[in-house]
Amino acid sequence: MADQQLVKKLEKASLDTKLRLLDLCHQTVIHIGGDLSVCDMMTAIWQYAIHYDVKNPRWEGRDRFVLSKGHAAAVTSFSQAAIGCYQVEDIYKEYATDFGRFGMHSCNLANPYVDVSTGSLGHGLPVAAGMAAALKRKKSASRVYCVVGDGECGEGSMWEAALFAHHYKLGNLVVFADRNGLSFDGPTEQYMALEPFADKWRSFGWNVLEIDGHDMGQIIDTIDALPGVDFDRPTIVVGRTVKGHGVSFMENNVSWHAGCVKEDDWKRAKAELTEAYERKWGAN
Amino acid sequence: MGMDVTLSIQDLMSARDAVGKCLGDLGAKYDNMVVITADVDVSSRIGQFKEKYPDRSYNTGIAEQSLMSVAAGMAHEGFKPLCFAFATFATMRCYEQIRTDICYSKLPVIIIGNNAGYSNGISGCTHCGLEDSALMVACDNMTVIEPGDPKQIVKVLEACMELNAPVYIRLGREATSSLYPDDVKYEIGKALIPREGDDGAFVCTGIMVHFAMEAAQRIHDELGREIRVVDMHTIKPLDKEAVLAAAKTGRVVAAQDHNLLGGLGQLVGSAIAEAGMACKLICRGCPDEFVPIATPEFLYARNGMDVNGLYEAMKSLF
Repeated sequence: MADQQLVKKLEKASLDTKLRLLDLCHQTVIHIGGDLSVCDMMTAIWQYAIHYDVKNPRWEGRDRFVLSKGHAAAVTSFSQAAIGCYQVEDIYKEYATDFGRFGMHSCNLANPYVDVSTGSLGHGLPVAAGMAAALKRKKSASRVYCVVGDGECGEGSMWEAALFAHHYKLGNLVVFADRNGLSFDGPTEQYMALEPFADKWRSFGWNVLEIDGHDMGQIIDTIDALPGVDFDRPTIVVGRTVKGHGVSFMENNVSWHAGCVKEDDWKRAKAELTEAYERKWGAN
Repeated sequence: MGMDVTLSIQDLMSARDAVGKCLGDLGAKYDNMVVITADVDVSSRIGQFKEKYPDRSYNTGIAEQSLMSVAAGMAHEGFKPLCFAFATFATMRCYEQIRTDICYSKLPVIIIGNNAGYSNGISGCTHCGLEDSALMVACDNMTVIEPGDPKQIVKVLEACMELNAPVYIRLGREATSSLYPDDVKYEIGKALIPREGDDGAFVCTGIMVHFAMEAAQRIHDELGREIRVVDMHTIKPLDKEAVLAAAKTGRVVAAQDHNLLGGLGQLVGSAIAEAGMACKLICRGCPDEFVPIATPEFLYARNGMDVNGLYEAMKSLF
């Protein structure tokens, strides 16, 4: 059972990131729906799970991170800013500017804190699998964390990677799936059904852990109980989430896949998120 | 290092056999080299390497997208993957993986596409790699190579390992003789001239270089003209200096076992035109139509790409 102070700390960190996302979303277009759905898991990955040296993003002993759902670039950047990779202000200043480090998708040429450029769906997981195979060859103690979207599991390359990671026993590969149930057009079950989603991964031989992707206690417990890198199977944490989570008018609303939030909605969204946190933990 | 490729100049050898023969030595020289195939271990002749380095050999199964992305991931971690698949599947099924996962980050991944061109014509359209060169040329950061001489493969692969950037090597199936003495210097981007001449020039890649050599000999014997043969083993970056020198002869026949559209001939023609030179030019390659099931010999003859076709093309320029 996760320590409640830790849960509170990470929930506060996640709230901070969500508020920053909304500030950015008020300034320009970001993929706010998928940013909010994965924010709690992303916060735990960057501010709790990962072994990382912000002074040396090429440190050989670091855990790797691959954002397979590359459109969640903003939430990744703010989570990295929270551990000191950049100043939060840098993101507001440079996001979607000419030769900026931050954009609608992650770019490793522009940003040394990005291991792999992503954006085209179905690419990140297979690259992460290649990195995991390489780290295994090097007998490294590092993990590869990979965040995938549920919609991108329509790409056949995801399942090629699922085969590969299982065949080569990549226990150092840990995938977080943001199962928010919505792709660009609408509900996955209506457009291209993915259920039984977790069973599909089980049938590919993966270690499958199903959690509420917004329950910080469950996320922490899951991270604490992850198998070691020498485990004989890759792990996928299927986090059931809500697209646009925490903002009433964005939740489960496909029109908030990406967008820019106007003045009134911006204030309302931030108030809703803050109130929810304060109801649970108090104003401090 | 001494690579033990014991081939006499008369030996016939296919490029893939030559690759298989040198992989073990290459693996000894580069301990960060890994070999990945998509269910073509046997066909790619990687057996010797696999035996010597079982833990450095990977097979993704019939999954070329996985092949390229996994290679990218391994290259991110400091390894140098050699990836094998048939030219068609190695470039088309996984084009976006090559472009985005490998080329964008300029990763040192070497892709070897076997069965390029008409060389596997009897397998039909699905197995003829006729678009691969054009597709790979269009990828930024990609070097594209089609050696004319199987014996050069060792030097080609070594040069590619040293390049530290993405390379696509297209290989036909045909067994050919060697064109050069053992000590010939191989340099990526620098064409070789296996036959000198100033009355005209063939600019070719792969199997076409061999056909051009015979055609040039016939022209010498029958017409008394001296035709240069330019082995344009590097398609990208194109050796423009060699192209313009060829154009100075006034007569160029460019041939590649590949679609005419997007193939070597267009690159050569554009280089000549951009330099503002006037020159008679004939391009030979596969016309804009899908391949029937047929032998390579039939297809080469049908499209004027065999010895006789190249001979007639050059002759028509006089």
